[in-house]
Amino acid sequence: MDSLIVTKVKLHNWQGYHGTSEFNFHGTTDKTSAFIYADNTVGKTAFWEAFQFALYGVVERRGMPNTFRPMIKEDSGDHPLLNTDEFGKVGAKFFVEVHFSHDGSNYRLYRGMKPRFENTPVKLPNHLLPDVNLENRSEMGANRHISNEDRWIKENILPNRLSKFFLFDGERLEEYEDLMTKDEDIDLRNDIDNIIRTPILSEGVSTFKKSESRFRVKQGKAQAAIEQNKKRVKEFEKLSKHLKEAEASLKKLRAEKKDLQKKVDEIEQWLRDNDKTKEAAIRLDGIKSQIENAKKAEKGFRADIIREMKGAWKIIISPMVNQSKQMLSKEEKAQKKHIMQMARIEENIKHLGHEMEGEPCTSCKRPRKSPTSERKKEIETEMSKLHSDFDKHKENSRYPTHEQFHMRNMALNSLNSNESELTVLFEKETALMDEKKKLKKAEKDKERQLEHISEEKNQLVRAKLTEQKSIKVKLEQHSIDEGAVLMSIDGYREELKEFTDSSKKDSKESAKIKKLRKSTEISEALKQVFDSSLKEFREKMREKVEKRATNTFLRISNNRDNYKGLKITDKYAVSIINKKGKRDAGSQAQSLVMAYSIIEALSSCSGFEFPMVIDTPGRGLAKSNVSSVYDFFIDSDRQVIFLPNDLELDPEEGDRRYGKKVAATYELVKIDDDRTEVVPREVGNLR
Amino acid sequence: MEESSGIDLNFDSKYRDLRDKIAEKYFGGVKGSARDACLFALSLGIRFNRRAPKKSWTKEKPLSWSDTNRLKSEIADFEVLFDYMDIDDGGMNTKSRMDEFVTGGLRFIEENDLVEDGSLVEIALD
Repeated sequence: MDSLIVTKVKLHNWQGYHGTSEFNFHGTTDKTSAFIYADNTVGKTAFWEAFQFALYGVVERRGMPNTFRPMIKEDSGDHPLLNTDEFGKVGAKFFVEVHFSHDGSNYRLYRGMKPRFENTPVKLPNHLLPDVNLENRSEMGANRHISNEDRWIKENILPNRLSKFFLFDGERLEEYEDLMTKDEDIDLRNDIDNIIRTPILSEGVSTFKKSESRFRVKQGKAQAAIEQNKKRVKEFEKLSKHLKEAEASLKKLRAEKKDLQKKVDEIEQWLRDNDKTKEAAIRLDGIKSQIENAKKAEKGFRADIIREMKGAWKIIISPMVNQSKQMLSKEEKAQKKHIMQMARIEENIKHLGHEMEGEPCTSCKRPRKSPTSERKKEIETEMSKLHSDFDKHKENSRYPTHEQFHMRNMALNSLNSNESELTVLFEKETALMDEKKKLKKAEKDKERQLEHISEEKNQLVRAKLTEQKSIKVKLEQHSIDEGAVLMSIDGYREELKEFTDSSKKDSKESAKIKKLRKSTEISEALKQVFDSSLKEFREKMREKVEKRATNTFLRISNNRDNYKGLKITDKYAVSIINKKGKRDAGSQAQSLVMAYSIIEALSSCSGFEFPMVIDTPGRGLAKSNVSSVYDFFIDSDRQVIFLPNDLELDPEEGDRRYGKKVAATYELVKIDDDRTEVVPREVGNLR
Repeated sequence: MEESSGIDLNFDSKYRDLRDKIAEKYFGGVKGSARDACLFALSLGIRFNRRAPKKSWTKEKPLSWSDTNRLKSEIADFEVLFDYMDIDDGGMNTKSRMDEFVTGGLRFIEENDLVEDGSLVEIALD
């Protein structure tokens, strides 16, 4: 690969450079390097940063990795890339243009920011658009323009990761030194890896490492999925158990609910049978009325009975009384008959007496003769018989006077009754008995109804109602619980269904794991092969860097007589080795020289031919060392652009010592309005 | 007609309570109801010819319920009735007959349980 030589740098409105400034480095044969002198803050670093911008599109803030300078700001204190005089102008833009020759071709890399809008004052970052162009000026037509500039730059000019070895800032030399002198310097090893331009190895290791890692991750994920699934199986069993428990719980709940409902129904029925307070009160009114009526009726019947009973005794003895009355009547008739007979007998006796006396007949008044003696005897016999009959009748006549009969009749009449039966009395008594029965029944009803409205009963009803309410609450809770359990069961079933579905995935996962495991093994094997190759290559490169750095160190160091060289250890720590072959602590200045040497070695061994652009090259170095550095690089076949301040190299001395050896020297000065102006000094070697 | 100061009509004193119950139950317990109760018992004694001979009475002093004159003047004269009844008691006077018939009637009431639980229907007059 031929060296890459920067032939021209053009800056337009770039930081302190207002308008267009140009640096020509296209010298005569072998003269490609340059010095750009400037006091501090005049524009050296801005020039140095122009390469960063041209190659990578950004400028990192000094000492602030991954923090970038703003494209546009009004105040220069913010270090914007666009010259602050252009801020707010319509059509404001800036660019960096780098011309270089490489592999026999001439290239132009143009990178800048152009206005997004034609008539808008440029004040904000979004007022600017990137403007990049890379062309191979040795080509014509379609081949002239190189598309995908960034990739081309990375692959053909200088990748960003290596830029620190080429775009070197003396201000940061101590950082390099610090890194390199650590006992175990991983950064240096990485740097060596970076400069080993064997992407097939370094990237291969990385790629296979990533692949292996990726496969492992995937495998891990798949394994995790299976592990997860094992957990899920356990969870499945747990869920199944929960489902069974929930179903048992549901069964139990339903049975309890049924029992509770039964109890509620029983209490309901009991209340229907017993809670009759209102009905009882209504019935009681009716019963009271019945009782009143019955009592009245009873009273009435009792009064009737008492009234009837007054004459009952007469009715009871009425047969005897009637019989007596009949006997009395007979006696009266017989008496009357006796009296009549006696009167007739007395008449006959009277007639016979008149006849005896010869007196005229009392009936017909006809005179009669005195009876014969015979007749007299007959009359006497007849009269004697009549007297005897009269006596008989008189004897048989018990109550000879009418008054006596009357008195007896009166006596019997006082015992007499018009009624002969006690029917009315019995009817009244029967009615009374009926009323009594009614009353008794009504009284019982009353008692029964009073039971319903008794305090005791009410307490019982209230107790039952409380019990019923309590059971209903339980019943309601059971219903809620039942709903919850049902939901749980549905949830468990749904989850179990998902488990069933996911278990089908397991077999797929297992196959996937087998495949991934194989891929991982292959990746690991390939990585080991590549890693082993890379390690071997790195070791060779370490030796190469060590050799080149030693050479440089012994050229630059002002104490070179006491040193044997530099040693990069197995752990990539760099040491200065004295003549006795021992590690030498050295001074800080020697350590900085060591850092320079390593950087130079790394950039040389990287295979890239980009020039070294060294800002403030003497920072921290002794003056003799700085001179050695200038001498070393100027005498080397590399293109180097030094940006020393006046303390590091006086322009006059610089021109005198190196003016003829370099392509050109320039000096940066400040002119009006703090603008940087480029003053060409030694430009005789320019083409 | 004879005025009061007649001879007391009596009954066995063991029927005092029964007499009082009858007086209460069937005659309202008012004044004269005790007499009416005895009159009722007398009628039953006569009707069913139930006489309780005096010798069967308790030794306690018999209870008087009326007297012969008062009964005759206020109620009735039973003597004529007894004349016609075929009573074979060796010519016992009316007062004694009535005493025995009243006590006999009370016994009949007791025996037929007419007061406590029974009713007058128990009196079969046929």
